[in-house]
Amino acid sequence: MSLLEVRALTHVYAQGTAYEHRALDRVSFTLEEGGFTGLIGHTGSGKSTLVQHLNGLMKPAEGQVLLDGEDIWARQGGIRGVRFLVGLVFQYPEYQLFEETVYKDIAFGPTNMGLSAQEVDRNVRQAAALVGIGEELLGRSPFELSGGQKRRVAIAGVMAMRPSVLILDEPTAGLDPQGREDILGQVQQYRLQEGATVLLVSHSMEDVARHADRILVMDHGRLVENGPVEEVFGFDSRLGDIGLAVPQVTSIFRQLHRRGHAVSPVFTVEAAIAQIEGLLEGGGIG
Amino acid sequence: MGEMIQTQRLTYTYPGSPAGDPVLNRIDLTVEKGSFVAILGHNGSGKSTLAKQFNAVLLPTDGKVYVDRIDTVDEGRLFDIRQRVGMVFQNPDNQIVATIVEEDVAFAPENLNLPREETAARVEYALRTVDMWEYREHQAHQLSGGQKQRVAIAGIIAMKPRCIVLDEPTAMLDPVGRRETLAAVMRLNREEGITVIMITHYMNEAVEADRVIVMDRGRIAMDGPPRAVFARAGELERLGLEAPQPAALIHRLRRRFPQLPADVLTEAEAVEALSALLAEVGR
Repeated sequence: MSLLEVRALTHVYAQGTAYEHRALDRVSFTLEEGGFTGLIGHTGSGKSTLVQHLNGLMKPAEGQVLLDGEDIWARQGGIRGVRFLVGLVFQYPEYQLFEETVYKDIAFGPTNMGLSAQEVDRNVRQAAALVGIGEELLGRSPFELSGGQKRRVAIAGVMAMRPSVLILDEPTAGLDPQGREDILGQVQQYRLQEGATVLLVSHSMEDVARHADRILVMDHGRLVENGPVEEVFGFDSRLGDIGLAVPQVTSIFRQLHRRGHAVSPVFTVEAAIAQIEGLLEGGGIG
Repeated sequence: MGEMIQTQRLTYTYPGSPAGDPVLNRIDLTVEKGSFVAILGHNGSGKSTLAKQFNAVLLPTDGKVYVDRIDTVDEGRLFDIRQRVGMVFQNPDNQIVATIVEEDVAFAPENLNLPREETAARVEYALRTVDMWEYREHQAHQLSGGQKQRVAIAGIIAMKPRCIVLDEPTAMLDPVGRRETLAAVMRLNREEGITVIMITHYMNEAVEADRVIVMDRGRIAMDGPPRAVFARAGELERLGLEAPQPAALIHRLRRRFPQLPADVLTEAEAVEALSALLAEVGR
Protein backbone atom coordinates (compact mmCIF):
# COMPACT_ATOMS: atom_id res chain seq x y z
CA MET A 1 0.00 0.00 0.00
CA SER A 2 1.06 3.56 -0.60
CA LEU A 3 0.06 6.77 0.96
CA LEU A 4 -0.49 9.64 -1.45
CA GLU A 5 -0.60 13.10 0.03
CA VAL A 6 -1.04 16.51 -1.53
CA ARG A 7 0.09 19.64 0.35
CA ALA A 8 -0.92 23.17 -0.58
CA LEU A 9 -0.74 22.44 -4.29
CA THR A 10 -1.18 25.53 -6.48
CA HIS A 11 -1.02 25.75 -10.24
CA VAL A 12 -1.49 28.85 -12.37
CA TYR A 13 -1.82 28.55 -16.14
CA ALA A 14 -0.35 31.35 -18.30
CA GLN A 15 0.94 33.21 -15.26
CA GLY A 16 1.56 36.89 -15.83
CA THR A 17 -0.54 37.06 -19.01
CA ALA A 18 -4.08 38.26 -19.65
CA TYR A 19 -5.19 34.60 -19.70
CA GLU A 20 -3.86 33.85 -16.21
CA HIS A 21 -5.95 31.14 -14.63
CA ARG A 22 -5.56 29.68 -11.16
CA ALA A 23 -6.37 26.01 -11.89
CA LEU A 24 -5.36 24.76 -8.43
CA ASP A 25 -5.46 26.91 -5.34
CA ARG A 26 -3.74 25.52 -2.22
CA VAL A 27 -5.21 22.04 -2.51
CA SER A 28 -4.38 19.66 0.36
CA PHE A 29 -5.60 16.14 1.10
CA THR A 30 -4.46 12.60 1.81
CA LEU A 31 -5.84 9.64 -0.11
CA GLU A 32 -6.93 6.97 2.30
CA GLU A 33 -4.66 3.92 1.90
CA GLY A 34 -6.45 1.05 0.20
CA GLY A 35 -9.57 3.19 -0.09
CA PHE A 36 -11.79 4.11 -3.01
CA THR A 37 -12.13 7.87 -3.38
CA GLY A 38 -14.31 9.70 -5.90
CA LEU A 39 -13.22 13.08 -7.30
CA ILE A 40 -16.07 15.21 -8.62
CA GLY A 41 -16.49 18.76 -9.91
CA HIS A 42 -17.49 20.71 -12.99
CA THR A 43 -15.37 20.75 -16.14
CA GLY A 44 -12.70 23.38 -15.53
CA SER A 45 -12.79 22.93 -11.76
CA GLY A 46 -9.19 21.65 -11.76
CA LYS A 47 -9.70 17.87 -11.58
CA SER A 48 -7.53 17.02 -14.58
CA THR A 49 -4.78 19.43 -13.59
CA LEU A 50 -4.81 17.84 -10.14
CA VAL A 51 -4.53 14.22 -11.32
CA GLN A 52 -1.70 15.11 -13.70
CA HIS A 53 0.27 16.31 -10.68
CA LEU A 54 -0.32 13.05 -8.81
CA ASN A 55 1.93 10.90 -11.01
CA GLY A 56 4.38 13.58 -11.99
CA LEU A 57 3.08 14.54 -15.41
CA MET A 58 3.03 18.09 -14.09
CA LYS A 59 5.51 19.50 -11.60
CA PRO A 60 4.09 21.61 -8.79
CA ALA A 61 4.91 25.29 -9.07
CA GLU A 62 3.90 25.62 -5.42
CA GLY A 63 3.15 22.88 -2.92
CA GLN A 64 4.06 19.20 -2.87
CA VAL A 65 2.90 15.73 -3.79
CA LEU A 66 4.17 13.09 -1.37
CA LEU A 67 4.23 9.33 -1.83
CA ASP A 68 4.82 7.43 1.42
CA GLY A 69 5.97 10.67 2.98
CA GLU A 70 8.52 11.49 0.29
CA ASP A 71 8.22 14.32 -2.26
CA ILE A 72 7.73 12.56 -5.62
CA TRP A 73 10.18 14.95 -7.24
CA ALA A 74 12.92 14.21 -4.68
CA ARG A 75 12.83 10.41 -4.78
CA GLN A 76 15.92 8.31 -5.43
CA GLY A 77 14.47 6.42 -8.41
CA GLY A 78 13.42 9.66 -10.08
CA ILE A 79 9.98 10.59 -11.33
CA ARG A 80 9.89 7.59 -13.71
CA GLY A 81 9.58 5.22 -10.77
CA VAL A 82 6.62 7.25 -9.45
CA ARG A 83 4.71 6.61 -12.69
CA PHE A 84 4.94 2.86 -12.06
CA LEU A 85 3.63 3.24 -8.52
CA VAL A 86 0.88 5.72 -9.38
CA GLY A 87 -0.96 4.48 -12.48
CA LEU A 88 -3.05 6.95 -14.43
CA VAL A 89 -5.79 5.92 -16.87
CA PHE A 90 -6.67 8.89 -19.07
CA GLN A 91 -10.08 9.75 -20.54
CA TYR A 92 -10.85 7.70 -23.66
CA PRO A 93 -7.69 5.62 -23.15
CA GLU A 94 -8.67 3.37 -26.08
CA TYR A 95 -7.44 6.13 -28.41
CA GLN A 96 -3.94 5.43 -27.11
CA LEU A 97 -3.80 1.76 -28.10
CA PHE A 98 -1.10 1.35 -30.73
CA GLU A 99 0.46 -2.13 -30.69
CA GLU A 100 -0.15 -4.95 -33.17
CA THR A 101 -1.74 -7.23 -30.62
CA VAL A 102 -3.74 -6.88 -27.45
CA TYR A 103 -0.99 -8.79 -25.62
CA LYS A 104 1.76 -6.38 -26.70
CA ASP A 105 -0.35 -3.39 -25.79
CA ILE A 106 -0.96 -4.60 -22.26
CA ALA A 107 2.73 -5.64 -21.99
CA PHE A 108 4.04 -2.18 -22.94
CA GLY A 109 3.99 -0.72 -19.41
CA PRO A 110 5.41 -3.69 -17.48
CA THR A 111 8.11 -4.21 -20.15
CA ASN A 112 9.18 -0.58 -19.72
CA MET A 113 9.46 -1.17 -16.00
CA GLY A 114 12.27 -3.63 -16.78
CA LEU A 115 10.44 -6.70 -15.47
CA SER A 116 11.58 -10.13 -16.65
CA ALA A 117 9.74 -11.70 -19.58
CA GLN A 118 8.20 -14.16 -17.16
CA GLU A 119 6.92 -11.43 -14.84
CA VAL A 120 5.60 -9.43 -17.77
CA ASP A 121 3.75 -12.48 -19.06
CA ARG A 122 2.20 -13.15 -15.66
CA ASN A 123 1.14 -9.53 -15.20
CA VAL A 124 -0.36 -9.29 -18.70
CA ARG A 125 -2.45 -12.44 -18.27
CA GLN A 126 -3.58 -11.45 -14.79
CA ALA A 127 -4.60 -7.96 -15.87
CA ALA A 128 -6.39 -9.21 -19.00
CA ALA A 129 -8.32 -11.78 -16.99
CA LEU A 130 -9.23 -9.17 -14.40
CA VAL A 131 -10.87 -6.91 -17.00
CA GLY A 132 -12.60 -9.84 -18.71
CA ILE A 133 -10.39 -9.98 -21.82
CA GLY A 134 -10.17 -13.71 -22.63
CA GLU A 135 -6.96 -15.49 -23.72
CA GLU A 136 -8.39 -15.86 -27.23
CA LEU A 137 -8.31 -12.06 -27.68
CA LEU A 138 -4.67 -11.58 -26.69
CA GLY A 139 -3.33 -12.37 -30.18
CA ARG A 140 -5.85 -10.10 -31.97
CA SER A 141 -5.26 -6.57 -33.13
CA PRO A 142 -6.72 -4.15 -30.57
CA PHE A 143 -8.44 -2.36 -33.44
CA GLU A 144 -10.68 -5.36 -34.11
CA LEU A 145 -12.25 -5.12 -30.66
CA SER A 146 -15.47 -3.38 -29.67
CA GLY A 147 -15.28 0.04 -28.01
CA GLY A 148 -15.90 -1.41 -24.55
CA GLN A 149 -13.24 -4.10 -25.03
CA LYS A 150 -10.68 -1.54 -26.23
CA ARG A 151 -11.36 0.54 -23.14
CA ARG A 152 -10.76 -2.49 -20.92
CA VAL A 153 -7.52 -3.40 -22.75
CA ALA A 154 -6.24 0.14 -22.13
CA ILE A 155 -7.11 -0.12 -18.43
CA ALA A 156 -5.42 -3.54 -18.24
CA GLY A 157 -2.27 -1.92 -19.66
CA VAL A 158 -2.07 0.28 -16.57
CA MET A 159 -3.13 -2.48 -14.14
CA ALA A 160 -0.37 -4.76 -15.56
CA MET A 161 2.18 -2.41 -13.97
CA ARG A 162 0.47 -3.25 -10.67
CA PRO A 163 0.48 0.36 -9.41
CA SER A 164 -0.31 0.74 -5.73
CA VAL A 165 -2.31 3.88 -6.50
CA LEU A 166 -4.68 3.65 -9.48
CA ILE A 167 -6.18 6.88 -10.81
CA LEU A 168 -8.90 6.76 -13.48
CA ASP A 169 -10.21 9.86 -15.28
CA GLU A 170 -13.81 9.20 -16.40
CA PRO A 171 -13.21 5.53 -17.22
CA THR A 172 -16.89 4.89 -18.00
CA ALA A 173 -17.61 7.87 -20.29
CA GLY A 174 -19.74 6.86 -23.28
CA LEU A 175 -20.41 3.30 -22.08
CA ASP A 176 -23.83 1.72 -21.53
CA PRO A 177 -24.97 0.97 -17.96
CA GLN A 178 -23.74 -2.64 -18.05
CA GLY A 179 -20.36 -1.58 -19.48
CA ARG A 180 -20.01 1.06 -16.74
CA GLU A 181 -20.79 -1.39 -13.96
CA ASP A 182 -18.40 -4.02 -15.43
CA ILE A 183 -15.45 -1.63 -15.45
CA LEU A 184 -16.08 -0.23 -11.98
CA GLY A 185 -16.51 -3.77 -10.61
CA GLN A 186 -13.14 -4.68 -12.15
CA VAL A 187 -11.50 -1.62 -10.60
CA GLN A 188 -12.92 -2.66 -7.22
CA GLN A 189 -11.54 -6.15 -7.70
CA TYR A 190 -8.10 -4.76 -8.57
CA ARG A 191 -8.18 -2.64 -5.43
CA LEU A 192 -9.04 -5.61 -3.21
CA GLN A 193 -6.56 -8.02 -4.85
CA GLU A 194 -3.65 -5.59 -4.75
CA GLY A 195 -4.59 -3.65 -1.65
CA ALA A 196 -4.37 -0.62 -3.94
CA THR A 197 -5.66 2.90 -3.41
CA VAL A 198 -8.15 4.05 -6.06
CA LEU A 199 -9.04 7.59 -7.14
CA LEU A 200 -11.96 7.80 -9.58
CA VAL A 201 -12.66 11.05 -11.43
CA SER A 202 -16.30 10.98 -12.50
CA HIS A 203 -19.28 13.07 -13.54
CA SER A 204 -21.60 10.26 -12.54
CA MET A 205 -22.77 10.76 -8.98
CA GLU A 206 -24.47 7.35 -9.17
CA ASP A 207 -21.16 5.61 -9.97
CA VAL A 208 -19.37 7.49 -7.21
CA ALA A 209 -22.15 6.72 -4.72
CA ARG A 210 -22.05 3.04 -5.55
CA HIS A 211 -18.30 2.51 -5.38
CA ALA A 212 -16.48 5.19 -3.42
CA ASP A 213 -16.14 5.45 0.35
CA ARG A 214 -14.86 9.01 0.29
CA ILE A 215 -15.44 11.99 -1.99
CA LEU A 216 -13.29 14.97 -2.94
CA VAL A 217 -15.11 17.91 -4.52
CA MET A 218 -13.27 20.52 -6.60
CA ASP A 219 -14.73 23.93 -7.45
CA HIS A 220 -12.86 26.74 -9.22
CA GLY A 221 -9.48 25.22 -8.37
CA ARG A 222 -10.23 24.73 -4.70
CA LEU A 223 -10.97 21.58 -2.75
CA VAL A 224 -14.36 22.43 -1.23
CA GLU A 225 -15.31 19.04 0.23
CA ASN A 226 -13.30 16.09 1.50
CA GLY A 227 -15.20 13.48 3.45
CA PRO A 228 -17.01 10.16 3.54
CA VAL A 229 -19.88 9.66 1.09
CA GLU A 230 -22.35 9.92 4.01
CA GLU A 231 -21.15 13.44 4.71
CA VAL A 232 -20.76 14.84 1.18
CA PHE A 233 -24.05 13.37 -0.09
CA GLY A 234 -25.84 13.65 3.29
CA PHE A 235 -29.01 15.60 4.12
CA ASP A 236 -26.91 18.73 4.66
CA SER A 237 -25.05 18.33 1.36
CA ARG A 238 -23.80 21.63 -0.03
CA LEU A 239 -23.24 20.25 -3.54
CA GLY A 240 -26.31 22.10 -4.80
CA ASP A 241 -24.62 25.43 -3.99
CA ILE A 242 -21.96 24.75 -6.63
CA GLY A 243 -24.40 23.34 -9.17
CA LEU A 244 -23.67 19.65 -8.63
CA ALA A 245 -26.47 17.19 -7.98
CA VAL A 246 -26.61 14.27 -5.56
CA PRO A 247 -27.94 10.94 -6.94
CA GLN A 248 -31.71 11.08 -7.58
CA VAL A 249 -32.44 8.45 -4.95
CA THR A 250 -30.49 10.53 -2.40
CA SER A 251 -32.56 13.56 -3.32
CA ILE A 252 -35.81 11.60 -2.96
CA PHE A 253 -34.89 10.58 0.59
CA ARG A 254 -33.85 14.12 1.49
CA GLN A 255 -37.30 15.34 0.44
CA LEU A 256 -38.97 12.57 2.48
CA HIS A 257 -36.86 13.65 5.47
CA ARG A 258 -37.99 17.28 5.01
CA ARG A 259 -41.58 16.12 5.01
CA GLY A 260 -41.00 14.67 8.46
CA HIS A 261 -40.56 11.00 7.61
CA ALA A 262 -38.02 9.17 9.76
CA VAL A 263 -35.63 8.23 6.96
CA SER A 264 -31.85 8.43 6.92
CA PRO A 265 -29.66 9.32 3.91
CA VAL A 266 -29.21 6.71 1.15
CA PHE A 267 -26.96 6.78 -1.90
CA THR A 268 -27.96 3.73 -3.94
CA VAL A 269 -31.27 2.23 -5.08
CA GLU A 270 -30.44 -0.99 -3.19
CA ALA A 271 -29.94 0.87 0.10
CA ALA A 272 -33.14 2.84 -0.46
CA ILE A 273 -35.17 -0.34 -0.95
CA ALA A 274 -33.63 -1.95 2.13
CA GLN A 275 -34.46 1.09 4.25
CA ILE A 276 -38.07 1.41 3.10
CA GLU A 277 -38.64 -2.31 3.63
CA GLY A 278 -37.02 -2.08 7.06
CA LEU A 279 -39.21 0.87 8.06
CA LEU A 280 -42.36 -0.89 6.98
CA GLU A 281 -41.43 -4.26 8.45
CA GLY A 282 -44.23 -5.42 10.69
CA GLY A 283 -46.39 -2.59 9.41
CA GLY A 284 -49.08 -5.12 8.58
CA ILE A 285 -48.98 -4.67 4.81
CA GLY A 286 -46.87 -5.75 1.89
CA MET B 1 -48.96 14.59 -39.88
CA GLY B 2 -47.66 11.68 -41.97
CA GLU B 3 -44.53 9.63 -41.55
CA MET B 4 -40.99 11.02 -41.61
CA ILE B 5 -39.21 7.67 -41.63
CA GLN B 6 -40.62 4.28 -42.42
CA THR B 7 -38.79 0.95 -42.47
CA GLN B 8 -40.18 -2.31 -43.80
CA ARG B 9 -38.51 -5.54 -42.70
CA LEU B 10 -35.22 -3.60 -42.62
CA THR B 11 -32.32 -6.03 -42.41
CA TYR B 12 -28.66 -5.11 -42.44
CA THR B 13 -25.58 -7.32 -42.34
CA TYR B 14 -22.13 -5.73 -42.23
CA PRO B 15 -19.99 -6.58 -45.26
CA GLY B 16 -17.87 -9.58 -44.39
CA SER B 17 -20.19 -10.84 -41.63
CA PRO B 18 -22.06 -14.10 -42.19
CA ALA B 19 -25.52 -13.55 -43.68
CA GLY B 20 -27.10 -15.33 -40.74
CA ASP B 21 -25.79 -12.68 -38.32
CA PRO B 22 -27.58 -9.42 -39.18
CA VAL B 23 -27.02 -6.27 -37.08
CA LEU B 24 -30.58 -5.24 -37.90
CA ASN B 25 -33.15 -7.98 -38.17
CA ARG B 26 -36.41 -7.32 -40.05
CA ILE B 27 -37.29 -4.02 -38.38
CA ASP B 28 -40.67 -2.44 -39.03
CA LEU B 29 -40.73 1.09 -37.71
CA THR B 30 -42.61 4.29 -38.47
CA VAL B 31 -41.53 7.65 -37.08
CA GLU B 32 -44.24 10.32 -37.32
CA LYS B 33 -43.39 13.85 -38.45
CA GLY B 34 -42.86 16.22 -35.53
CA SER B 35 -42.22 13.48 -32.98
CA PHE B 36 -39.28 13.15 -30.59
CA VAL B 37 -38.07 9.55 -30.47
CA ALA B 38 -35.30 8.31 -28.16
CA ILE B 39 -33.53 5.09 -29.07
CA LEU B 40 -31.92 3.11 -26.25
CA GLY B 41 -29.99 -0.13 -26.22
CA HIS B 42 -26.75 -1.57 -24.88
CA ASN B 43 -23.52 -1.27 -26.91
CA GLY B 44 -23.80 -3.52 -29.96
CA SER B 45 -27.61 -3.66 -29.94
CA GLY B 46 -27.76 -2.12 -33.43
CA LYS B 47 -29.00 1.36 -32.55
CA SER B 48 -26.23 3.33 -34.30
CA THR B 49 -26.51 1.12 -37.36
CA LEU B 50 -30.22 1.82 -37.43
CA ALA B 51 -29.65 5.59 -37.20
CA LYS B 52 -27.26 5.47 -40.15
CA GLN B 53 -30.06 3.99 -42.28
CA PHE B 54 -32.14 7.11 -41.72
CA ASN B 55 -30.10 9.32 -44.04
CA ALA B 56 -28.68 6.69 -46.35
CA VAL B 57 -25.20 6.52 -44.79
CA LEU B 58 -25.95 2.78 -44.82
CA LEU B 59 -28.41 1.03 -47.14
CA PRO B 60 -30.51 -2.04 -46.29
CA THR B 61 -29.19 -5.50 -47.15
CA ASP B 62 -32.83 -6.49 -47.34
CA GLY B 63 -36.12 -4.68 -46.77
CA LYS B 64 -36.79 -0.96 -47.28
CA VAL B 65 -36.19 2.42 -45.68
CA TYR B 66 -38.26 5.41 -46.79
CA VAL B 67 -37.32 8.97 -45.81
CA ASP B 68 -40.28 11.26 -46.39
CA ARG B 69 -41.50 8.55 -48.78
CA ILE B 70 -38.22 8.49 -50.73
CA ASP B 71 -36.65 5.03 -51.01
CA THR B 72 -33.08 5.38 -49.65
CA VAL B 73 -31.64 3.11 -52.36
CA ASP B 74 -32.70 5.67 -54.99
CA GLU B 75 -29.22 7.13 -55.68
CA GLY B 76 -30.61 9.96 -57.77
CA ARG B 77 -32.39 11.30 -54.68
CA LEU B 78 -29.53 11.03 -52.19
CA PHE B 79 -29.26 14.82 -52.04
CA ASP B 80 -32.99 15.14 -51.23
CA ILE B 81 -32.64 12.56 -48.47
CA ARG B 82 -29.61 14.23 -46.88
CA GLN B 83 -31.32 17.61 -47.07
CA ARG B 84 -34.32 16.24 -45.20
CA VAL B 85 -32.41 14.34 -42.53
CA GLY B 86 -29.31 15.79 -40.83
CA MET B 87 -27.03 13.82 -38.51
CA VAL B 88 -25.12 14.87 -35.41
CA PHE B 89 -22.46 12.55 -33.98
CA GLN B 90 -20.88 11.85 -30.63
CA ASN B 91 -17.57 13.66 -30.82
CA PRO B 92 -17.98 17.46 -31.06
CA ASP B 93 -14.35 17.93 -32.13
CA ASN B 94 -14.81 15.85 -35.27
CA GLN B 95 -17.71 17.94 -36.54
CA ILE B 96 -16.24 21.42 -36.55
CA VAL B 97 -14.85 22.37 -39.98
CA ALA B 98 -14.11 26.11 -39.75
CA THR B 99 -12.19 28.32 -37.31
CA ILE B 100 -14.93 30.83 -36.52
CA VAL B 101 -18.34 29.74 -35.25
CA GLU B 102 -20.45 31.54 -37.88
CA GLU B 103 -18.23 30.31 -40.71
CA ASP B 104 -18.64 26.77 -39.46
CA VAL B 105 -22.43 27.05 -39.44
CA ALA B 106 -22.38 28.71 -42.90
CA PHE B 107 -20.29 25.93 -44.44
CA ALA B 108 -23.10 23.64 -45.58
CA PRO B 109 -25.63 26.30 -46.73
CA GLU B 110 -22.87 28.05 -48.69
CA ASN B 111 -22.52 24.87 -50.71
CA LEU B 112 -26.17 25.15 -51.70
CA ASN B 113 -25.42 28.27 -53.78
CA LEU B 114 -27.99 30.30 -51.88
CA PRO B 115 -28.01 34.10 -52.11
CA ARG B 116 -25.65 35.57 -49.49
CA GLU B 117 -28.52 37.17 -47.52
CA GLU B 118 -30.31 33.82 -47.35
CA THR B 119 -27.19 32.10 -45.99
CA ALA B 120 -26.68 34.86 -43.43
CA ALA B 121 -30.32 34.63 -42.36
CA ARG B 122 -30.07 30.85 -41.95
CA VAL B 123 -26.88 31.11 -39.89
CA GLU B 124 -28.50 33.63 -37.57
CA TYR B 125 -31.65 31.54 -37.22
CA ALA B 126 -29.60 28.38 -36.53
CA LEU B 127 -27.31 29.99 -33.96
CA ARG B 128 -30.20 31.67 -32.17
CA THR B 129 -32.10 28.39 -32.04
CA VAL B 130 -29.25 26.66 -30.16
CA ASP B 131 -28.61 29.78 -28.06
CA MET B 132 -25.12 30.38 -29.52
CA TRP B 133 -25.69 33.65 -31.42
CA GLU B 134 -23.56 35.59 -28.93
CA TYR B 135 -20.63 33.33 -29.77
CA ARG B 136 -20.83 33.80 -33.54
CA GLU B 137 -17.43 35.49 -33.78
CA HIS B 138 -15.68 33.15 -31.34
CA GLN B 139 -13.01 30.61 -32.22
CA ALA B 140 -14.81 27.26 -32.46
CA HIS B 141 -11.98 25.22 -30.92
CA GLN B 142 -12.01 27.32 -27.76
CA LEU B 143 -15.63 26.51 -26.93
CA SER B 144 -16.69 23.98 -24.30
CA GLY B 145 -17.87 20.53 -25.41
CA GLY B 146 -21.53 21.44 -24.98
CA GLN B 147 -21.07 24.68 -26.95
CA LYS B 148 -19.28 22.84 -29.77
CA GLN B 149 -22.04 20.27 -29.93
CA ARG B 150 -24.62 23.08 -30.19
CA VAL B 151 -22.62 24.64 -33.03
CA ALA B 152 -22.62 21.24 -34.77
CA ILE B 153 -26.42 21.12 -34.36
CA ALA B 154 -26.68 24.68 -35.72
CA GLY B 155 -24.71 23.58 -38.79
CA ILE B 156 -27.38 20.98 -39.41
CA ILE B 157 -30.30 23.32 -38.73
CA ALA B 158 -28.91 25.82 -41.25
CA MET B 159 -29.69 23.21 -43.90
CA LYS B 160 -33.34 23.41 -42.78
CA PRO B 161 -33.82 19.67 -42.39
CA ARG B 162 -37.21 18.19 -41.51
CA CYS B 163 -35.59 15.63 -39.29
CA ILE B 164 -32.44 15.51 -37.19
CA VAL B 165 -30.81 12.27 -36.05
CA LEU B 166 -28.42 12.52 -33.11
CA ASP B 167 -26.14 9.59 -32.28
CA GLU B 168 -25.25 9.92 -28.59
CA PRO B 169 -24.77 13.70 -28.85
CA THR B 170 -24.09 14.05 -25.13
CA ALA B 171 -21.89 10.98 -24.48
CA MET B 172 -18.67 13.00 -24.38
CA LEU B 173 -20.08 15.98 -22.48
CA ASP B 174 -20.13 16.89 -18.81
CA PRO B 175 -23.47 17.35 -17.00
CA VAL B 176 -23.67 21.07 -17.87
CA GLY B 177 -22.92 20.44 -21.55
CA ARG B 178 -25.45 17.62 -21.54
CA ARG B 179 -28.18 19.88 -20.16
CA GLU B 180 -27.42 22.64 -22.70
CA THR B 181 -27.45 20.24 -25.63
CA LEU B 182 -30.64 18.50 -24.55
CA ALA B 183 -32.35 21.89 -24.11
CA ALA B 184 -31.37 22.86 -27.67
CA VAL B 185 -32.66 19.55 -29.05
CA MET B 186 -35.96 19.91 -27.20
CA ARG B 187 -36.41 23.45 -28.52
CA LEU B 188 -35.87 22.23 -32.09
CA ASN B 189 -38.60 19.70 -31.65
CA ARG B 190 -41.15 21.70 -29.65
CA GLU B 191 -40.74 25.15 -31.15
CA GLU B 192 -39.46 24.44 -34.66
CA GLY B 193 -41.43 21.24 -35.23
CA ILE B 194 -38.39 19.30 -36.43
CA THR B 195 -38.62 15.53 -36.05
CA VAL B 196 -35.93 14.37 -33.61
CA ILE B 197 -34.46 10.89 -33.35
CA MET B 198 -31.92 10.70 -30.55
CA ILE B 199 -29.76 7.76 -29.56
CA THR B 200 -28.65 8.00 -25.95
CA HIS B 201 -27.36 6.03 -22.96
CA TYR B 202 -28.81 8.54 -20.55
CA MET B 203 -32.23 7.47 -19.34
CA ASN B 204 -33.08 10.94 -18.00
CA GLU B 205 -32.70 12.27 -21.56
CA ALA B 206 -35.01 9.60 -22.93
CA VAL B 207 -37.60 10.69 -20.34
CA GLU B 208 -38.02 13.93 -22.33
CA ALA B 209 -38.97 12.11 -25.56
CA ASP B 210 -42.55 11.35 -26.73
CA ARG B 211 -41.55 7.81 -27.55
CA VAL B 212 -38.81 5.45 -26.41
CA ILE B 213 -37.57 2.56 -28.53
CA VAL B 214 -35.33 -0.06 -26.94
CA MET B 215 -33.13 -2.09 -29.28
CA ASP B 216 -31.76 -5.54 -28.49
CA ARG B 217 -29.79 -7.81 -30.81
CA GLY B 218 -30.95 -6.04 -33.94
CA ARG B 219 -34.62 -6.01 -33.06
CA ILE B 220 -36.99 -3.59 -31.38
CA ALA B 221 -37.48 -4.99 -27.88
CA MET B 222 -39.69 -2.23 -26.41
CA ASP B 223 -41.56 0.71 -27.93
CA GLY B 224 -43.83 3.19 -26.18
CA PRO B 225 -44.10 6.44 -24.24
CA PRO B 226 -41.29 6.84 -21.64
CA ARG B 227 -43.65 6.29 -18.74
CA ALA B 228 -44.79 2.93 -20.10
CA VAL B 229 -41.31 1.74 -21.11
CA PHE B 230 -39.63 2.71 -17.84
CA ALA B 231 -42.38 1.04 -15.83
CA ARG B 232 -40.99 -2.24 -17.20
CA ALA B 233 -37.79 -1.81 -15.16
CA GLY B 234 -37.11 -5.54 -14.83
CA GLU B 235 -37.15 -6.08 -18.59
CA LEU B 236 -34.85 -3.09 -19.09
CA GLU B 237 -32.37 -4.60 -16.66
CA ARG B 238 -32.37 -7.87 -18.58
CA LEU B 239 -31.57 -5.85 -21.71
CA GLY B 240 -28.51 -4.35 -19.99
CA LEU B 241 -30.15 -0.97 -19.28
CA GLU B 242 -31.49 0.65 -16.14
CA ALA B 243 -34.63 2.68 -15.61
CA PRO B 244 -34.10 6.17 -14.14
CA GLN B 245 -33.57 5.85 -10.37
CA PRO B 246 -37.07 7.03 -9.29
CA ALA B 247 -38.70 4.47 -11.62
CA ALA B 248 -36.29 1.68 -10.65
CA LEU B 249 -36.81 2.33 -6.94
CA ILE B 250 -40.60 2.30 -7.04
CA HIS B 251 -40.71 -0.64 -9.44
CA ARG B 252 -38.63 -2.81 -7.13
CA LEU B 253 -40.59 -1.79 -4.05
CA ARG B 254 -43.84 -2.69 -5.76
CA ARG B 255 -43.06 -6.40 -5.29
CA ARG B 256 -43.61 -5.95 -1.56
CA PHE B 257 -45.92 -2.93 -1.73
CA PRO B 258 -48.23 -3.39 -4.70
CA GLN B 259 -50.25 -0.32 -3.68
CA LEU B 260 -47.44 1.89 -5.07
CA PRO B 261 -48.25 3.43 -8.47
CA ALA B 262 -46.87 1.52 -11.48
CA ASP B 263 -45.76 4.44 -13.64
CA VAL B 264 -43.55 6.69 -11.50
CA LEU B 265 -40.96 8.51 -13.58
CA THR B 266 -39.75 11.64 -11.77
CA GLU B 267 -38.23 12.42 -8.36
CA ALA B 268 -41.30 14.40 -7.36
CA GLU B 269 -43.62 11.50 -8.19
CA ALA B 270 -41.44 9.08 -6.22
CA VAL B 271 -41.50 11.41 -3.20
CA GLU B 272 -45.32 11.60 -3.35
CA ALA B 273 -45.68 7.84 -3.70
CA LEU B 274 -43.28 6.99 -0.86
CA SER B 275 -44.65 9.72 1.37
CA ALA B 276 -48.16 8.25 0.98
CA LEU B 277 -46.87 4.73 1.63
CA LEU B 278 -44.97 5.73 4.78
CA ALA B 279 -47.95 7.71 6.10
CA GLU B 280 -50.35 4.85 5.42
CA VAL B 281 -48.24 2.38 7.37
CA GLY B 282 -47.49 4.91 10.13
CA ARG B 283 -51.18 5.09 11.02
